[in-house]
Amino acid sequence: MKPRSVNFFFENRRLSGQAGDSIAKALFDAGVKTLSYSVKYKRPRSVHCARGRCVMCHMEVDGVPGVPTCITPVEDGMRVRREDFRPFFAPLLIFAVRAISFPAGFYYRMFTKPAFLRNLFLGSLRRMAGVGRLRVDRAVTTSAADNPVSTTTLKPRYDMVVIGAGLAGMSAAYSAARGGASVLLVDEYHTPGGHSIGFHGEHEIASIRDDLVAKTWGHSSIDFRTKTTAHAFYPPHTLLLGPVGPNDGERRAASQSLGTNLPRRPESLSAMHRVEAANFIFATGAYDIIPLFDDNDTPGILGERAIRLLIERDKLIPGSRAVAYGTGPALYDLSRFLLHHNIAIAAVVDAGEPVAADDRELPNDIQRIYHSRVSRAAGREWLSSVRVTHRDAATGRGSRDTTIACDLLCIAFEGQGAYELAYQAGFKFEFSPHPIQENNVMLPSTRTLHSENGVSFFVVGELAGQRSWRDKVTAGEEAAAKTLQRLQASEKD
Amino acid sequence: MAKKILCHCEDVETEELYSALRQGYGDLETLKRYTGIGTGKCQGKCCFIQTLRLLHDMVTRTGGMEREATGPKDLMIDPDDIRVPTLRPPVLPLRIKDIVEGERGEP
Ligand code: FES
Repeated sequence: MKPRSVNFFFENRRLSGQAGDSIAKALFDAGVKTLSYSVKYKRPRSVHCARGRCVMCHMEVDGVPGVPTCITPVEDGMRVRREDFRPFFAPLLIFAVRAISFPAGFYYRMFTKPAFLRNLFLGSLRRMAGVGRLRVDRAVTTSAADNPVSTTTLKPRYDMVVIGAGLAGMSAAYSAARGGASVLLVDEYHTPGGHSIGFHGEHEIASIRDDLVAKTWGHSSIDFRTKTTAHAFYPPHTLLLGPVGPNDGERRAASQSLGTNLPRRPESLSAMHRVEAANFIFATGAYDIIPLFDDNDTPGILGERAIRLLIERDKLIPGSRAVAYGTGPALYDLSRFLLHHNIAIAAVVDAGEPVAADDRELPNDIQRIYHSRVSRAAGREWLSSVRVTHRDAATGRGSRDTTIACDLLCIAFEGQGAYELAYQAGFKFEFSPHPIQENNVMLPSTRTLHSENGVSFFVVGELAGQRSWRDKVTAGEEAAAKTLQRLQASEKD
Repeated sequence: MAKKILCHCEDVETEELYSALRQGYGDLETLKRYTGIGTGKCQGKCCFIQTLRLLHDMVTRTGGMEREATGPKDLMIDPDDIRVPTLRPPVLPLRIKDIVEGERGEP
């Protein structure tokens, strides 16, 4: 079936896109790659996380500011604008800001007196930052009646609550449900799978995922809610769940999901809900971290998770010639993924040692550069080249620079676990020093926590530093087994 | 002018963190307030770890390769103080409407 085409407006231009695509994809197809400008220096920004977490793709849609265009489907007649304030003298202003290079905390020191000057100053700073203005008439008049999302209520209490429907989360939910526990499984995304959404058909992770989805989706003792965010954890045992995002996006998304071939059943919540449980499993996954180098915010620099989501989920191919940068098996897996999608690889830049097992399946003619770091990105509105600095393995000093032309820099270092909820539940996080600095992330100091109120918490999956699908699935199963033991013990009492 | 951006939401450069350190802002919460790192819309989801990593590196003198020559040499930060900052709910932005309407359905 041919997708329906839709017409929408971008600023004053009339563009057309395809129904079901995200706004970002429709704009990319029309050649608009800069989706916003940064707050202070007005540097171009484009898709970055591809999952509604950062701010780089936020635009004003139909008068509502702050809409994450990477996950909001495009619709007929939509009016999309960039949010920032760009007056005709913008270039001059940017020049001035750049030249003065406002020091940290300048707004605490400048124009502190008199009060009216201070207010004027802060007011204009805020306006220049351009984070959008809320049109009150638009924002508050949506009522429950025009929200088509089902409001099926949750039970107030479950045996176990799993946050995050990635491999680890789904495997925990399935094992616990099979053992007779009542489980609530929530995921903030439309489709389950987490990180594994970004793996294509032939990859073994894809089949593991599809298998777990088939087992958990529709299982009678699993209440599976996608597009439902866990907003907060309140000790001792309350989780606050609710609708996602500060915009109307979810309303649209629920009726028209973005394309993946997973089964779909939008069972999101349209209001805030509170659930209690005696067992919580945090499987919230991880974020991509972009390493520090010069101009590391140039659009076209994307983390592994983001690039997989863009390509697999949205069919948005952001570039044609990539440099893959990172270390370990994930880097080579990512390189193969890019090749599979017909993106040429200009070079594979490995921060570590050559490991034969890792790059076995990569064609020989692809240039590999070891012990090296990307030290600079170039490009005005979009990435045009990167500079790679080769470091002498013995001294660790920079020795040789190479410039490589490319329009994508794909980064495959370790991601940082999404620790917010686990932190609120009481987990402590500390660094796990790694010989490669970019892989140094914070991990929970323990995997399990038992509170004095008799509530148990487990961290599994990427949040706990597990990288391979086997580890994730096993960790999920183990956490479920411990939960079942606890449930049996409490029944005996 | 090349910039190493530490916090993408608030456009905070690595150099700004160093300058704050040199001025004596020596603990995480004040650094955060002073430079604005991690106070943008993503609330530090994508960037705060970088700050922590830099501090961790400077304090423990490990990690090796990428310690900046420009960074202050004597830091008064205790390694134990380098931790995840206080994270308050909600995890993602929430519409006020949703909070006002509160819980629907059965209590
Ligand atoms: S929120 Fe859309 S790219 Fe991050």
